[in-house]
Amino acid sequence: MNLDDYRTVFIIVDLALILMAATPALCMVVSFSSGVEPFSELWILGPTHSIDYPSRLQVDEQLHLFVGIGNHLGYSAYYVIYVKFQNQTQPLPDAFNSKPSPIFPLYEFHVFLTNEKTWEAPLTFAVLGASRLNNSLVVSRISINNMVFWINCSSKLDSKSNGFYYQLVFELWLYNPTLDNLQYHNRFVNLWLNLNL
Amino acid sequence: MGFLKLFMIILFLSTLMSSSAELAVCESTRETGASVIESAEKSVFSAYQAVLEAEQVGANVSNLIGQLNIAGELLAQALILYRTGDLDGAINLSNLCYEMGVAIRAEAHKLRDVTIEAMGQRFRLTVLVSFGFISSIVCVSFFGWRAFERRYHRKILRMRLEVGSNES
Repeated sequence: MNLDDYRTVFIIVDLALILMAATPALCMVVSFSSGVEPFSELWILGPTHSIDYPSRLQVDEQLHLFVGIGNHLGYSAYYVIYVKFQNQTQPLPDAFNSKPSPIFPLYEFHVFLTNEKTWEAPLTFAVLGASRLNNSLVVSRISINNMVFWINCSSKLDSKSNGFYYQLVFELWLYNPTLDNLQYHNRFVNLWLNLNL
Repeated sequence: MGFLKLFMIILFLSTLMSSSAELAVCESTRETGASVIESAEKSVFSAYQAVLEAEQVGANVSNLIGQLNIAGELLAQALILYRTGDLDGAINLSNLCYEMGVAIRAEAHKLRDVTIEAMGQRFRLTVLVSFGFISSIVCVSFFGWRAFERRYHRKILRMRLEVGSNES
């Protein structure tokens, strides 16, 4: 090795050491993205805290569920879960156009979650009042977490399965600081219920 | 007979008036309820934005998030009670939620300011320490290189030329 080669090695080692010494200060100025796509989770679990959901429900029978959210957005998020009750013909949220279901929510959860944290809460649902009129069933009173709601939701008899089908829909909404309002987060889960008198 | 008729008319009119007054009171309570809930909602939104600002400057907001969750629960309960027709309950919870939102907002702003100050001090200290290290590296390298260069030249000068004999 001649002197020029030694000089090059000296300069490279020097630059590496300078970079190492400047790293703590640089890290405070430059932010590096994690490279992970931000996302949110929404789930419901059955009474045994598993994906074993009951599908048949009697009037006055209590249905125990768990509803949960996971935040992987990279910041503390403000979520709202809207709980809706609808029959089999009423439209579900439109995943392609990011539109929520047009049904008015009955129950809701407001949750603030720091990044990489999850939240879960129990939910007890029951149909308290329903009446049969020929081939249709009209639900007039339901209860969610002991709050009673008066509704008017009718369902026609499904001749194939000989049941009246309803859906319990959970929609996830997220607060958008730019719009200063809640916005549908394009995530929902729904549970089909075959209701019997 | 005439007296009875008159009495019946007065009774009917008074019933009608009281029921319409009751309806008006109910409608006004509903409007008040909606407006109080809206204020509570705005207060929670504003508190959350303040917490988000504090988080963006690097503050530990887990305590404030816990408080926001309590305010959020109050707001959700107020909205549910409003839907079920319990307007007094909805108004009470909304008022509580509004006050909590205002308090959280103030606390978040304070935390943000304290964090900005602390971060500024930490940044200045880090830059100073880094600058010290870099200066030391440059000095050590400069003198080290000079010493190495001198040693290298001395080594070259000490070298003697030797003529190799071609032994056969």
